[in-house]
Amino acid sequence: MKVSFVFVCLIILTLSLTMCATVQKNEYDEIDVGFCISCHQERTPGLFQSWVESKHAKKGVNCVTCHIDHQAAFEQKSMVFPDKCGECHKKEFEEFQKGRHSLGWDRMRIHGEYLGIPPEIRTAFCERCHIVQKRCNSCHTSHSFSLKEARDPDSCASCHLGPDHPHKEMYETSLHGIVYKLTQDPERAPRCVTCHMPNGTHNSSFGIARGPVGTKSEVVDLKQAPISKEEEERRREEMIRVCTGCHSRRFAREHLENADQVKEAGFELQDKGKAAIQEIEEEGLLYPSLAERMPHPTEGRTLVLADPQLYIGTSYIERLFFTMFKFHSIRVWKSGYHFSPAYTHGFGWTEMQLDLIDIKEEAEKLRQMIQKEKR
Amino acid sequence: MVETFCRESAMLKKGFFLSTMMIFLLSIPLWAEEKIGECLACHQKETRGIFQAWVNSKHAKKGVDCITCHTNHEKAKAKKSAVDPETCGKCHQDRLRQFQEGRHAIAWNGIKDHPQYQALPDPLKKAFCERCHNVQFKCNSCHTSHAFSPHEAKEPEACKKCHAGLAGPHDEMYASSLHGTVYAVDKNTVRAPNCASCHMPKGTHNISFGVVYDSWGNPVDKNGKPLSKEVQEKIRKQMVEDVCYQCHIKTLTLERFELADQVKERAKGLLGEAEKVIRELEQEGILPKGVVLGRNQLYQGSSRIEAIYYRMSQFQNVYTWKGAYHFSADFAHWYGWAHLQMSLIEIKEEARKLRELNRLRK
Repeated sequence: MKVSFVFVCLIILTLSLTMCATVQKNEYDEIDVGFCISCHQERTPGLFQSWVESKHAKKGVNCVTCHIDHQAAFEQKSMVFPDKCGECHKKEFEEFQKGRHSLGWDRMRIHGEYLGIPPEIRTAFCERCHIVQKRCNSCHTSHSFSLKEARDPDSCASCHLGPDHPHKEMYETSLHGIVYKLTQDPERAPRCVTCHMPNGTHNSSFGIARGPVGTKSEVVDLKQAPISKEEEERRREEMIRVCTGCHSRRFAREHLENADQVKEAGFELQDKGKAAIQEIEEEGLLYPSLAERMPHPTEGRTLVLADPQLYIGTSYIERLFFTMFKFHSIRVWKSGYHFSPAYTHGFGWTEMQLDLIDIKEEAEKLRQMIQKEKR
Repeated sequence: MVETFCRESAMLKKGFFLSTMMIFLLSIPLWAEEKIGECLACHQKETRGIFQAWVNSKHAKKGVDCITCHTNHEKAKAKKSAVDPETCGKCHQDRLRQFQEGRHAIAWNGIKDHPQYQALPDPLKKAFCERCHNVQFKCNSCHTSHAFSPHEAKEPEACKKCHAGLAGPHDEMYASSLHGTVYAVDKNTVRAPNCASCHMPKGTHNISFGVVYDSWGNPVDKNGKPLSKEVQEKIRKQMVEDVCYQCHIKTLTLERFELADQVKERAKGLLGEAEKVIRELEQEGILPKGVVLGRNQLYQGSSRIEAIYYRMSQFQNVYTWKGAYHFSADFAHWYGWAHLQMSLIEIKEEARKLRELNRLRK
């Protein structure tokens, strides 16, 4: 009697548990947009309204299409990754993967500068931009995913600005940027996407024949291998085809080649700064010395000048060089290609020359100090 | 004939006298009751711009004219046409009350006692500090004369006049956040917030709404009284619930704020490290006793090492922690945190040189 009672209880319990599970599973399986909207139009009305007005809404692409279900959305903090968007936007996704935006996160994760800073700072600052690898909505922001927005220079300007790469500032002080600002007409003057994403390509590395950031090394492909001279020339030709929308072929080539020369001149100047510091290191005058400080996260106890140099815990003379290569050198060469005389000259070349004076003066002071000490 | 002429002429004279008297007598009450016509007669020619702005304003449509706010010509002249918030508050009572709850209402008092303000020559005080800090006395700092347009005042540009530049780059931080870039394209606060969306939700004029810290990063109220943990949480909750949840989910929002809190602490840590270096020099007698660092520090007449600290605490620190709360990434990182670190290197090197010089002198 007792045994059968326990047995019946067990059966009931099992059945009810199974039913519960089934009900819950079904609820998520058949989740429809009405289920989401019933809460979200009140809880996150701004986001809801953006979606209502979007092309997605008109075409029947709703919450569930991208976020799958509430549980899945919750687990990944509502993130939707590019491969999900690529299910519909196949061409754009494939192009995206050819450009350096698709390496934004991976390259950051192994970079010495990133590894050298506290986790909070990484999350609050570095990761906010470098997450572009995992977020189409870095540029097409949620939930309108508007083309108009994404094509506007302001859209690029949340990451591409500031001392380390003032693309926004360089563009705004170029004739291209000024005429576009006045007319808002991409036929009259190009905006960022006109040159970097012509015909709507999502390969943001289109036509870029020089780089990567801040080093003198050859241009590299996505696997960080230097590209051939032929590939370099092919990319240059690609870009020139954009320029010929308004400029003559000869004019465009001449200007880009002039920028190549500006780049070389900038790097020569940078090398002078580098050489002065290398001498100081050889003379054993760095403070703190390489032995006295934390080793570089990726390069160990070596003198790292230029990328991936750290801005933390180095000597003052190295810090002077950091400003020279990271902020000023980049303005010289990138502004050359963006045709901003103010940034190439005033904020770039002039500042580099002043940096060089500072570096030499500091080297001299360090030597004098030691000589006096010995006396 | 002549007689008639004389009589007529006498009558005319009498008439002229009478009419002059009439006009004179009438003009006495006219001055006393000053009519808008009096002002317009001159001002539509002499200050055409402000006249036209008023003509197109909501004030003009509702019959609020020169006299309503400026009382009369004599009084307006004596006050250099300034109209204080209390006058605006006669009609806009709620706005005045809210305004008085926020920090804008103590902006002038705040600089008056500040040593940096006192150390400046008068023309510089007037040309710089007072131009912004007079917001305490001027509703038209944001609602500029004579349109007083809410549309203008709600635009980020209206805030930019004061909230930009080295010491408080709110404009730059906002403009480089996703909030700012999306708003710049769409000009639609349903899509992305502007300054007023977060700091003045539902039109409140208490601009300290939802803000836990003062400009120096201290959790205090507008009178400098420390806020308890509970009150701090209550204030943050207001911001999060009334504003952020319009678009963001709860967990994500709270995470972002907590992250910003941690960034703020990190920046404070670097400042502490730099201060320690300077205090040691002070104790060793290399710097004179009584070095003032941070809030009441002057940017003039100090040693170079103190000047480096000045940039850290007043500029780079602000970029870092306020940048984190405004969700500016690249801009706040490089102008803020990276520069803080580089300044720390400079301070340590400067300390070493000062010690070395001191040793050689002996």
